[in-house]
Formats: sequence, C-alpha cells, structure tokens
Amino acid sequence: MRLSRGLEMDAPNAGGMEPARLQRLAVSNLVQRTLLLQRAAASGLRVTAAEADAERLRLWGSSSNTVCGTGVRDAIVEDLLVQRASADITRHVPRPGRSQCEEFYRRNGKLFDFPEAVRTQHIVCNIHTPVDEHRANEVMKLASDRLAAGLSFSRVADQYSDCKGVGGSLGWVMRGEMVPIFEDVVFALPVGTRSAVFRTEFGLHIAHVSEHRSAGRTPFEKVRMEIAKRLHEEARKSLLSQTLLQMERESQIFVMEEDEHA
Amino acid sequence: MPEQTKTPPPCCVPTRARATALKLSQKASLARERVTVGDTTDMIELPGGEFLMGTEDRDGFPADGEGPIRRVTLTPFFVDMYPVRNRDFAQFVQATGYITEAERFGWSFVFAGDLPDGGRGIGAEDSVPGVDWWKRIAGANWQAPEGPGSDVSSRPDHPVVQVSWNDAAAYARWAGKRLPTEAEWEYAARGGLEQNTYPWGDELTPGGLHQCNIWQGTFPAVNTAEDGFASTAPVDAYPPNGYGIFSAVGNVWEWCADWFDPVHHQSATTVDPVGPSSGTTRVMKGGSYLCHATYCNRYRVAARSSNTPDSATSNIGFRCVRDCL
Repeated sequence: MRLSRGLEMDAPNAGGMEPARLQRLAVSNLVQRTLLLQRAAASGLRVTAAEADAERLRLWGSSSNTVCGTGVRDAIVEDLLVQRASADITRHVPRPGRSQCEEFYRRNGKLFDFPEAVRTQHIVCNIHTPVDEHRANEVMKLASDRLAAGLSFSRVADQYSDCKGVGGSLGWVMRGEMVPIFEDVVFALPVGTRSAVFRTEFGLHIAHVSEHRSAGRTPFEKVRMEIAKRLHEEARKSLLSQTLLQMERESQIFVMEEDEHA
Repeated sequence: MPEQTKTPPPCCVPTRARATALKLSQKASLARERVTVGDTTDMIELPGGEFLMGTEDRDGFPADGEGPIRRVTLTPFFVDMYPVRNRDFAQFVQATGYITEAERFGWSFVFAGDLPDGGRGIGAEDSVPGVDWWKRIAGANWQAPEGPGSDVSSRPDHPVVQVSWNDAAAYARWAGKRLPTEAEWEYAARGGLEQNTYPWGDELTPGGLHQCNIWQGTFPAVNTAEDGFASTAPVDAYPPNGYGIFSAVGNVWEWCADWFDPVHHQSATTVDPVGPSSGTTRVMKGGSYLCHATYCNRYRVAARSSNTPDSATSNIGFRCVRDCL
C-alpha cells in the first residue's frame, strides 16, 4: 500500500519492519488519507483537470510516460486534494518569533557546527586492473607535465582526469568524508598549492586546494530563516496530527480485510 | 557551513562510503557463481575484455541508472544465441516436472491486446492501476501464455514467456548454465559495437528494414505490426548482431542475474560487476514487443528495467550464459 505523500509526514522506512506493524501503519495512513479526502469534499476543495495534468507532468515528466491510465490521474487528483486539505487545516498556524528561534539555536547549537573543510580539485586515474595501472602512470605523468608548464588545474583535470567536465572540482571537502589517505594530503596542503601524484584505493590522484576553513558554528542570523521554517513545519505537523486524531475519534471506521491474492 | 559549489558525479569522489562499497562489490565479484558444465550447442563464446557500458545519451533515462558510461572488464563466457525457446523450456519441464510460479499462483499477467476480446471471455481482471492494458488472467502460464484456449504448440521457436526470475534461474541450473549479469548481457547485446544505441547501430530501421520486434502504432490501442509481429516473434526472425546473438532487443524482456539498483554501479567495481548483494527487484534488459518510442523507449542496449523475482508476464523471457573452462 502506498504511504500518503500528501500527508507531508516523514514516511518511515518500511524495510525490516514487522509485517503486522507495517500493516497497522498502512491502515492508519489509509484512514487518515480518507478522512482528509472527506474533509476536502466537505470544504469544497477542487482540483481542475489542468492542475492534475500539470502535476502529472511535474512528477512523471518524460515522454516515456505520456500514456497514463485513469488510475494514475485519479491518484494524482487525490494526492493534490489531500495536500490541500492538510494545508487548509494548518493555515492559521502562526510563524515562530525571533525569541523562539534564538531559543532553538541555543539549545541545538551543535546542529549548526561545521567541520574543518578545504575547497578541493583533483585529477584522478582509476585503477581497476593491472592494465589500468600502466595507463594511469602514463596519464599522470602527462598531467604533471602540463601543470608544471603552467596550465590551469581545471583545464588539465578536464583533459586528463577520469572525471571530466567539472574541472576536477570536489567543492568543499569536510573532515571525515574522504578516504584517510586523500584527507591526509588535502588537509596538509597549503592554500593555492597542488600535491604530487599519490595513490588511494581508487587509483592515482593529484589534488589542489584553493581555500581552507577551520571548524566553527554558523552564526544565528545565517540560519534564522531555516530555523523558523523548521519550527513552523513542526507546528503544522503537530496540529495536523492532533486534528486527524480528533477526526478519527469522531468517525465510524471499518477496516475490511482483503483476500490475500485479490 | 561552507557552500558546495559544483557537484561532481559520485564515481568521481574518493569518499569513505565509496571505498567501502567498492571493496564489498569486489568481494561479491570474486565470489560470483561460475558454471562450466552446460552444453554449449547454440552458444557463442565471447572473448570478454573491456567495453563501454551504459549511456549518457539524451534519449536515455538517467533515473533508471543508465549512466554514467563506464569502462567494464569481463572474463570470457559463453552466451545463448537465442532467448530460451518454448521447445527448450518444454524439455526442462519434461525432465524435471518443474512447476512455474505462474502455475502455482494459478494466474498471470497478459497484455490485453494479445487477448481476442480484451480477455472478457475468459474473465480478465484489471489489477494494475494506471496500466490497464495488463490483465490478470486465471490459467495463464508458459504453456498457455494468453490463458485458457492458448497454447505454444504452434510457436516452439518463440521465446518462452510467463516465466519468473525464479523459474529462469531454475531452468539455468538444470541446463548447467546461469543467468547473465547485466554487464554480460549488455556486452553480448552490443555485438562488438562501441556505444551504439542498438545491437546493429544507431538507426532503428536502417534502409527502412526492421531489425527487432517492437510496437508500431499508438500504444496501447493500435499495433500496426509493421515489423511483421503483433506479439512475440520467433527468436531468429531478425538478423543477429556482430557476435551472432539473435533477438537481443525487442521481442521479450530478458531477466538478468543482478538485483536492480539505479546507483549501485556508480560505486562498484567495473571488473566482472555483479550488482548489489540484495534488493527487491531483478534487472531486465532489452525491452519487448510492447515497447514504443513514446511509451517505453527501452529497446536500447543500455536501457534497463526491473521486476520482482516472482513476476511473470507475456513479454518477459530470458537467455543463459556459461563460464569458460
């Protein structure tokens, strides 16, 4: 059974869940979805054919799916109605104030810590077989010569690296992300310099570091909007969940068992 | 937090997670099943070596995991010239008494267009929302691919269909063979050409000639069958590819041994790759007679799809491979 996207709740990972628990969860989702659809009907919420088509295009996009059965369209319309009913229920939830956001930042400061990082590029020659080994050595020698001749690192990376097209960019590399040998090299490189050829379990590399940032904490003002959004979302989810619980209590719900192979 | 500027493909980044995945995939490759006992009649010995797998072509489906293009190395192996035919599968059933999953379930999926009256006369049921051209037919199985009233006696050289991945694996074991890895299948299907769309080149109908059995017309209502076939075709209906492999694309989807995952190969070894260690669906390659450019443009050699291992339909079959001594 499909978990409802429209409820905007975090879909739990079904993998490894006991079948009985998974079934309870599926039934609960179906009940909530049905209640929201009833609410949408009672509130006069509608989805036009054009809106359903636009949503299908957004979700399915490619030309491979231009032929959709009515089942797909109906499911899209229902999803949109569930989303709209959810939004309608939570439309009066107030946005959090500055002091609430500051409080959250004070209590959860670690969430906004960032590790030491270096802005890095690399040229890589992957080695999978002994044949690759010889090729990689040859290519790295050519790349080193070109760098020594003064060509830009990006240009040499796009010409010689196994990973072309991004100028060898790895963006900001955080401590703890990359294999240890790679990290040992790039975190020790002075800014604006490149390494000699070195080897990791993937193959041969030449690395270049253009910026180095120490570990630290993002200032409050930079994350204030993000925190406000998060708190608002949590408040919306909480209200939606309470409302659904109340609606369930006020409803008559019968869950019919289905034939296993139906 | 520092901003990330450009995002390189995962296969370019030397992360710890990728190193772990690489190591696991290398182990899995070394531990892969090897079978060297099956009869090699009607099999082609392929030399292995390197080939470029996957595609980054704009007509492809990146979300399926068709890319990136990677240089894959394979050990030599034998591959069936043809998909397993009804006549071959009948021998297996006769020798072993094997009962397929569709027979045990008592029903299977049949394409509505293959049924005389859309299946109404034999109690067809809609059971797949959104794809109402698939009908659930009681009694459909490999011997009666379109359900009661159908049989395969007039089509011994058509590929066997209504066989699940589990059925295909059982056949392969009996024959002293195995199902191909996705890499082996694609290498064989490419026929020695490099990075071409189809097993014969880049043009679908070179010189106006059809090279495979797919859909012409408007899917799913009208199949004009300009290629000569509205449903499955004999396995040798069209010319073979450069390796002598027939019916590599179109006709029926072919099961591969690998579990399906759209990103696994980005971190895995490229030497005899075998797919992830677990999953929910198995890889299928080659597309089928139901594929059309506007609906399922997956009769390209790099295209991939998947289905659960117990699924059977009227457009899925398989072929086997065998290792060299």
